[in-house]
Amino acid sequence: MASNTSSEEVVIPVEPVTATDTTDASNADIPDYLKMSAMEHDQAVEHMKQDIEKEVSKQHLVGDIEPTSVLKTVYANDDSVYQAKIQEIEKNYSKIRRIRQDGNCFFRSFGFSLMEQLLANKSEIDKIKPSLTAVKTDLIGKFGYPDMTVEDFYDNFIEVLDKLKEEETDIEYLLKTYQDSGLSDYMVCFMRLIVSVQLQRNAEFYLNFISSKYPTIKSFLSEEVEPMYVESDHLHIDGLSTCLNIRIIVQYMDRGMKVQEHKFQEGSPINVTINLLYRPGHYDILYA
Amino acid sequence: MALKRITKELQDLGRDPPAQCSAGPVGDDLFHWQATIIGPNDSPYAGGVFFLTIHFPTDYPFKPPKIGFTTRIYHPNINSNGSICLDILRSQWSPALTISKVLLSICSLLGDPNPDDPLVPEIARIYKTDRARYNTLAKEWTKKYST
Repeated sequence: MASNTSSEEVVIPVEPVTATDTTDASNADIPDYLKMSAMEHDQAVEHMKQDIEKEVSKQHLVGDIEPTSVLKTVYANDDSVYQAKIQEIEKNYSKIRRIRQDGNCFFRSFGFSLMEQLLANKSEIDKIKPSLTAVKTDLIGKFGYPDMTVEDFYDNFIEVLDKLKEEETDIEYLLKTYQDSGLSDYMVCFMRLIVSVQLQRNAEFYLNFISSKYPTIKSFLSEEVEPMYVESDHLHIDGLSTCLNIRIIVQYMDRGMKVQEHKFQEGSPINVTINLLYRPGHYDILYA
Repeated sequence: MALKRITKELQDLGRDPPAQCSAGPVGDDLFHWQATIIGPNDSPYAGGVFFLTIHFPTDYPFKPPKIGFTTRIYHPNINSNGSICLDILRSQWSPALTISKVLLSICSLLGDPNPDDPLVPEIARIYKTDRARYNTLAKEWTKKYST
């Protein structure tokens, strides 16, 4: 299950802290973080999280297109598992667009890739709009969300979609929109709400797949879906893909045997396919 | 984005103010507000008027507003610094929420404390084991600090 941090791919030591005597010098073999008091430990973790956030904020929200082989430099040369898998992925996807590792990467990848394809395929734009409007209507009318905020996110999303229809709109406009943190995060917010609606509409079904620490769909949504910077999982992908009827194909690259491919809404009549690369804790956009 | 959203919330509060609460900017700085909450009638805080400060982060609404009591209050989820232990102000903050919703949640928290996730364990203990004493102390503090 996704953890509630923006520290993708970075492991913070979270071993349970026992009450240790910080003045006892004989505990030389005990790691520093175990010698701390609970409060010192919390502060140290908080500092570490801030450092990671600072580092992550240097990455582009949405990067340029690069050859997929750029991933080879991310892993050690002798990391045979990953180096082999990158080669396997390169066969079908020669290019990649890397997305900031801030916990919003699935949503940002999906949104950018969707709009990038709609820009080249304008006739599909109006096919998606009815589901977006239904999301807004249900959030306000059926599920009691504040109309002021929901309409704000919806209006911004539609505004960008409408702009894509215009002849003179180009990829630079889309990049500018997604690289502006305010606008970009507004898109992410609305997509998180789309997942929320889809799961609430089919609460009984989705509850089967949710950890028992969440007794209701609502409790899952308020911890794992609606807040920003919380990482996405299979359910988020299914929710977004199903609600909008958009095809998503994810290449899962981890330490397992082979690259696994997962397809969502494979039979969608909408002429858009979102291709994503998953590495533990992170999503990027792939191109053929 | 933040300023546009805060302005919208301010207009919305003027049009449709929540019961028992009010909020607005302190001066020219739209990122710094003051709010008041009237103690709920069915609680030991009845008759009290509680002041709070609200600071909006520059990346609002993606990050939650920082809200604290400036009036002292005897409550298991509010400490002597005025800090409030409320899930929607931390891990459950959603950009779809509004200041109005948050203030209403704080009102509910006054009427219905959550002693299982306390910020002041001693008050939580008294709340759980000696409700009459909790009521008396909360009423006394209300009288002393907020009326």
